[in-house]
Amino acid sequence: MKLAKTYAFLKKDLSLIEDALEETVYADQPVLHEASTQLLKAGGKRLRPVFVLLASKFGDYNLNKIKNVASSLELIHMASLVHDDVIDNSDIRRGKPTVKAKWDNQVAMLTGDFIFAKALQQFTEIDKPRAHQILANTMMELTIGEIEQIKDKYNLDQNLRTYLRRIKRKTALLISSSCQLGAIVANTDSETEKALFRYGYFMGMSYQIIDDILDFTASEKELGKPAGSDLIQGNITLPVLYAMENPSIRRELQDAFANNSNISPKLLSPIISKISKSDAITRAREVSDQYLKKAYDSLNLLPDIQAKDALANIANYIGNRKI
Amino acid sequence: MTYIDTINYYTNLITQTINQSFLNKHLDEPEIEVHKLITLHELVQDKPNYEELVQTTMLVQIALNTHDKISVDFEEENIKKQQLTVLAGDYYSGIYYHLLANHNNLPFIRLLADGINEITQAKMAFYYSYFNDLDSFLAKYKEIESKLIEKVADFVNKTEQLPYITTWLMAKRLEFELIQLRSDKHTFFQKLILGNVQSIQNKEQLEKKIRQQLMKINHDLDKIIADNKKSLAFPKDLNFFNYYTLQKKWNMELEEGLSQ
Repeated sequence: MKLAKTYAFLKKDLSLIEDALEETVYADQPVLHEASTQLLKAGGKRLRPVFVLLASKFGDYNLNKIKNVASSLELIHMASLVHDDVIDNSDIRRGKPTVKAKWDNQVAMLTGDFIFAKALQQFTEIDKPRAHQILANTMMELTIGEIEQIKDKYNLDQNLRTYLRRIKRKTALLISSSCQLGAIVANTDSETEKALFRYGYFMGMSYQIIDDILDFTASEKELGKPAGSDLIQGNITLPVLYAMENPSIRRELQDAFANNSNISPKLLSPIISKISKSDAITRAREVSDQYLKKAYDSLNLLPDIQAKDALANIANYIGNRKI
Repeated sequence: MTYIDTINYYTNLITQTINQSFLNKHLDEPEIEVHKLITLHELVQDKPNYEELVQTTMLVQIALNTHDKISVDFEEENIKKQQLTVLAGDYYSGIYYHLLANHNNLPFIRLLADGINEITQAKMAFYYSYFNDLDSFLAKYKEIESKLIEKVADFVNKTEQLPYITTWLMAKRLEFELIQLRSDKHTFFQKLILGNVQSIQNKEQLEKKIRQQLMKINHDLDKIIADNKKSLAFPKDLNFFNYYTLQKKWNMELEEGLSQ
């Protein structure tokens, strides 16, 4: 089943959010306008708005308010991607040239700041102090996660804990906040809010682990970038951590990283191949499945409405992404 | 408190707030534009939460200044520093939101977001505009330089001092750029001028023009003071009429403070 089919009943509302996104990033300056809509037009799953809408279904579903939360979260995600492409020197995202590739780093910096400001302007329409505290905390953690990622690059002396903390900050918190903020803006009771937060958190963790596995197992065509790109950039993900329990793989990586200014896809290709064929992939998959199970369990506390089925189906889809 | 005390107080407050060990290790301490800090303090000091207003506005200014340091392309030998500079700007912006969100100050969150929005739009317009001379460039650049302070002045209903403040801030910008030029340090401001002002082709021309502009701006400041003397009564608690002379005193105090 296609992901969009799991929440087809939200199609009309998602379309309104799409319009809101486009309207929000409107800028008089033509380059800024084009750069801001560049990523928007490239599509994407709009997972964060979907989670906001679905979570809101458990309370008072007021689309006018919910729309502001959903589009703000997508914009914050987009702003961070525009800046990430500067950090990673990426030329392609979602099959389209990145802002930094089409224009330059400075245009990308201004575009990211502009989108961030637009997101906050939009979010201040929500007159709920706790919602702002949650979003502010999420944004701080997101940036700290990125800083930690740079700090840990090419560092082979990492453990499971540092990895999990990093992906929590980098991915899971924005997804869990999407669910939680959807619940808050819809005035759900605190148990429902907590269950939705937990669902989002576990989903986010599982989602990122699978992304990290796909980096080794998917083809360049499927990924839109060479396989093993994360490792080439020095990011030590869960499959690598597990694979390094094999002393020969660890030694090969140590040798390859000894001079980290000279790491090429060609140099790492044999190691990437070994990791993708090792049991590290299955073991990482097991960890992802454990998070997924916790996500399903969190749903048990929620009433049986259509949105609950959709959340379960999304978890199912995420869990069954081709590895 | 003397200006030196005020500057020290806020500088410590801001430095503690943005403290992040890994950023500290790899990046230079962000420059705090003390003239903006003092101006903000003067504008809001009679408000109950004045420290937070100064601190968060300065954080946004520092975040934007930090992102201005990103070069068009990353230099191979400085990749980590550049990557962290991107994140440092995001981090400082995040702190501004975090502080205000924790004190439920939604109007000020909105105000500063409006400011970031308008400044980024103005910078982008600059990036793709061409000017015949420095005069026309500076007339537009004034908006970028003083936007946040204009927003705050509007927020606290103290806009009558803005003609003086915005001109004074431009003078401070030009003084700063002269120092950078002499130290051979590149800035976003210089890059915009050298790339977009047709009559200025090199640093020597730029330095000469900046000196001329500074003389002109100082003359303008005198004129604003003279005009206001006749027509505008400044509020008792915020006497920008005296600010020009205080500035000299403050600079002297600053020098004394530095020499101790």
